[in-house]
Amino acid sequence: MVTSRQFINALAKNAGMTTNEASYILEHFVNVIIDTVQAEDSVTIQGFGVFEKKKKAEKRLFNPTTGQRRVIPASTTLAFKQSPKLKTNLNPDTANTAATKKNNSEE
Amino acid sequence: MTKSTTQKPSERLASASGINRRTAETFIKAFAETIVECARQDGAAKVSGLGTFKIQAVADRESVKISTGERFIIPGYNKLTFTAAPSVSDVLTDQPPLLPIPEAPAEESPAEESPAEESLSDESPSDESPSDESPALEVPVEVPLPEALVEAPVDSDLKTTTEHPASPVESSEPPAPAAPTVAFPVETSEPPAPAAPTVAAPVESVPGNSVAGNSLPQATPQPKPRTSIWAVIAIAALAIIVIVAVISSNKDKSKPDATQQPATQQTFTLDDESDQDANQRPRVHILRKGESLTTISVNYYGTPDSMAAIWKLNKFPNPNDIPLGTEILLP
Repeated sequence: MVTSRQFINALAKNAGMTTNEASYILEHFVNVIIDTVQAEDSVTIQGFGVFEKKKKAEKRLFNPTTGQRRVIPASTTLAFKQSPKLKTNLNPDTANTAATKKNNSEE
Repeated sequence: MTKSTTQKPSERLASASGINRRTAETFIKAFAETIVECARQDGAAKVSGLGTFKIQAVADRESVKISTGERFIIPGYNKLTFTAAPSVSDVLTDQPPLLPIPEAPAEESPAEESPAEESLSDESPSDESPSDESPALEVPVEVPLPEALVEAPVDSDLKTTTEHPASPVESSEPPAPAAPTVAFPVETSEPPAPAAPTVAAPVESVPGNSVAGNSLPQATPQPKPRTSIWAVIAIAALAIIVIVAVISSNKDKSKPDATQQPATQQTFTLDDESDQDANQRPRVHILRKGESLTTISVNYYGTPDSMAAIWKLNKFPNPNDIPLGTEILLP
C-alpha cells in the first residue's frame, strides 16, 4: 500500500510543486472536502468521483460463543462513488469491448 | 441533496490555502491522477486525514435478459473503493446542528435585572449583618415568651426582664418591642435552647422553684431531651429496617444464581433474561412445516440473533435446507 508520504511525493511530482507545498495544499483540500460534505451533503470532482455523506444505522452484534451482545451506535461517514470516466480508465478492456459492441449494433 | 461541482471545491481550496484558482484546479486534477496511479501500482493509496483508496476487482456474474430469457455474463471490472478514516466519521457524526447563534442579552440596563437578583442583593446585607455578629447574643423578635416565664418574677440580675413581664400582653406579642429588652440569647428556631446552656446550673440547683428567676429557664429544657431521644430511636429503627430489607433482598438474588451454575457445557448464555427461562426451555425441538432456525430462535429466545448459536450447535451443512422432522438441539 502506498503510504501518505509516498502519496505526497507522487502528488507533488504530478502537480509540479514541492512536497511541502503539496502537503500544505493537501491538508486544506481534505478539510475543504469534509466541510463541503458537511454543508452540502456531497462534493463532485469531475473525472474522478463524488464524495457523499452516508448514514450508518445502529448495528447489534452477537457473539454465539461467548453470548455477548454489543451495540454499535449509528454514525455518519464519508462515501465515494467513482465516475464513469474513472471506471473506463480503470477498465480499458471492457471499454474497448463495449465500444466494439456498440459499433456492431449500429452496423 | 445539493451537489457541488469541481468549481466550488477549487474555489474553496483557493480561498482556504491562499493559492490562485488555476493552481487549485491543477492540484485537484493531479490529486485524482495520483490516486489512480498509486492504487494501480500497489493496490491501495492512503491519504492522511481522509481515508484509503483501493482498487477492488468485481468478478464476472451471470444475468438474464428479461425479454428473451437468455442468460449472459456480465464481465467483471475494477472499481475504486474508498474507506473513510475514523477521524472523518467522528467529525461527520458529531456535526452540530446548523442553528444561528443567539445574540447575548444586552448588559447595558442594570435596572432590568431580574427580580431574583435584586432580591438576592437586598437579602445579602440582611444576611450578612447577623452573620457578622455573634448569633447567640442577638435576640430575634419573633419568639413569644411563654406565659409562665412572663408572669414569674425575676431576680435582681434579671431586673430588666421583670419590667416587661408586668405587662403580659406586651410580652406575649411576637413583634419587636418585647424582644430587644430580653437579655437571654434566644434564637428564632429554638427559643428555649439557648436558655438551657446558660441557665442550666441554676435550674438544676433549684428545680422546683417556679417563682424565682431561675424558674424562667427551668421549664424549657424538659421537653427537649424527650423529643430528641424519641427522634434518635425512630431513626435507628428505620435504619435497622432498611438494612434488614437490603440483606434479605441480596440473599434472594444470590439463590437463583447458585442454582443456575451447574449448566451443561453446551448451553449458550444469550441474555440475562433468557437465563432465567433456561430450565423451562426444552432441549430438543422437532422441525415442523413452515419453521426455520430463525423462527425457532424467536420462539424460544425472543430474538432471531440466536439462530447462529442453534446452527453452530447442530452443525447443519445448510441451515436453509433442513428436512422436516429433524430433531434440533437447543442451546
